[in-house]
Amino acid sequence: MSATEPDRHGAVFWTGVVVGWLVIAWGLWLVAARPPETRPINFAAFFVGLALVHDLVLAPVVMSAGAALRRRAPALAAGAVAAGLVVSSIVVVYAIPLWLDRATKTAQNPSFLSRDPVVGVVIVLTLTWIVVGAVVLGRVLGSRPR
Amino acid sequence: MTEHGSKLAALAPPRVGPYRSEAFESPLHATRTAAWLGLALGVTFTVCFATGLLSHLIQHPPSWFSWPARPANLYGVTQGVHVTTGIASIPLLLAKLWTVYPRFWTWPPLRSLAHLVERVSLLPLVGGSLFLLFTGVGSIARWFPWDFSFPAAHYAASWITIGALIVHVGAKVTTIRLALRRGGEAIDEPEPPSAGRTRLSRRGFLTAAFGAAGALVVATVGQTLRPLAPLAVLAPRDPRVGPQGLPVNKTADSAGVIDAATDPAYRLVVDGNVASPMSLSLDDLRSMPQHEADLPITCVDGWSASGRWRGVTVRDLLVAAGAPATAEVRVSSIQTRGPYRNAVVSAAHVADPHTMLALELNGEPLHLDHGFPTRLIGPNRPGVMNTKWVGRVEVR
Repeated sequence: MSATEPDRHGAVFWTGVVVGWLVIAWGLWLVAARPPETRPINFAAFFVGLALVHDLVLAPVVMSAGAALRRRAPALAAGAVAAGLVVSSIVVVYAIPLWLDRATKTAQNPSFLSRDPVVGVVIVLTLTWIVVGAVVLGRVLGSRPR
Repeated sequence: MTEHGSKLAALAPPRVGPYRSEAFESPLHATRTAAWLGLALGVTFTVCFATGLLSHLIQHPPSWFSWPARPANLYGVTQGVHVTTGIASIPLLLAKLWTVYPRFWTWPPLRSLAHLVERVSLLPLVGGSLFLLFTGVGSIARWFPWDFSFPAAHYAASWITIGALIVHVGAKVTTIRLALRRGGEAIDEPEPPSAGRTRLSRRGFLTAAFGAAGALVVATVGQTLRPLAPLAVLAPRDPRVGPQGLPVNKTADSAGVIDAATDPAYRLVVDGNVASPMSLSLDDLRSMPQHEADLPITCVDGWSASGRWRGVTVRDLLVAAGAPATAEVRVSSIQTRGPYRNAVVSAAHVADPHTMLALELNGEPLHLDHGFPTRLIGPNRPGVMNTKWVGRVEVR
């Protein structure tokens, strides 16, 4: 990140703090006021746990994968491959809950997940990597001496 | 800077892990990139919050709120936007968190009271954002690895997150303005000359993030917009698939109503504030004047599908029982459990000639999974408020 980013905490900041934390407090009250429904301990475990899993597991793994890609991928392909991996990994992450226990869910309700999400992922990833391949091919052809 | 902050700043950062100078060497961790992603997330989260709040108000209306019966598909639009925008937010949020990740390890960790407040406010922002998208996707995928009630927890978390977003915008408004104005690249270190040719450029990274959002939208929005259904390869629902051509959210088997719904002794009770309480058999209902209407059914999960419904209007039912045709009613299912076994139909919806107790769908008797022997259906109502397997109509 930039070292030139301004660090200003004026009236707008403090107004935002007051208004924002009032709204946050209302949300916390909603959690605390209906414990049979919100299960505050379980709520907090997911709320904090998801942030920790992201910051301490997911982000470092993605950083490492990006660094490895920069070292090993051919220069002309690295950028497009990285973009393809960004799209692919996000599509896969989205589809995992659809895929989990699909057989049981569709047996109980045949109109649910009538299309196999694995097939959907394959379709989206195929299209993504066709685009990536086209971009790489264009760069290879464009880099040849004329 | 406070005295405490000065002391911290005077300490050299530890040269380990994320505090190594080369730990975050990618030029993609740029302020301008973060600003673009933040702006997009500000829009998507605000839209999600507004449409989610609207859905909550419709289902739990306070005295000052009324939801009209027309246009018939308005709720389909607002809830479709809610779910689709939430799905589009997934790549934008992950890209934004990755872009600003080095700030998590900033040194000194605290510079002032304001900096402390700003950093503490990031927990409700990051935790809340991840919580909302994780539980949202889990809910539409019918995957519930948690113990809390999804609607109550999702609603509370949305307030926490939007509050934290207000704090964050207040803290970053100057930075965002500087970063996004023409020539805002000056706020960041310049990209290496090879960016875009030999490595992913900032523009390429943004294209990938927005491209992923676009891909997810195209692959899911067909569950709301029927013409795009063939493209909805990652949507949990296909609006064309289900008994009688419509999807089902809760089956008769999972609701535990098969025996009661198919019992020949079934009766619909109309009581409460009426002159003549009634107990009607299915044949009694069929002998009353029948009304037909094309109406959408929209699930809170975002899918929407239309069918041709035929049955007895609630208004006719009330008139037959000697109740005011514009009274508010409470409709109850023969289900003995489940949070959606009752629904209140406001006077505005009762008065609408298309609000009915349907007996047929698309020219056939209602399928058991669609609510046989009779279900409530009306314009501009969430699916969970169109009670299935109706056993009682109580006039209030």
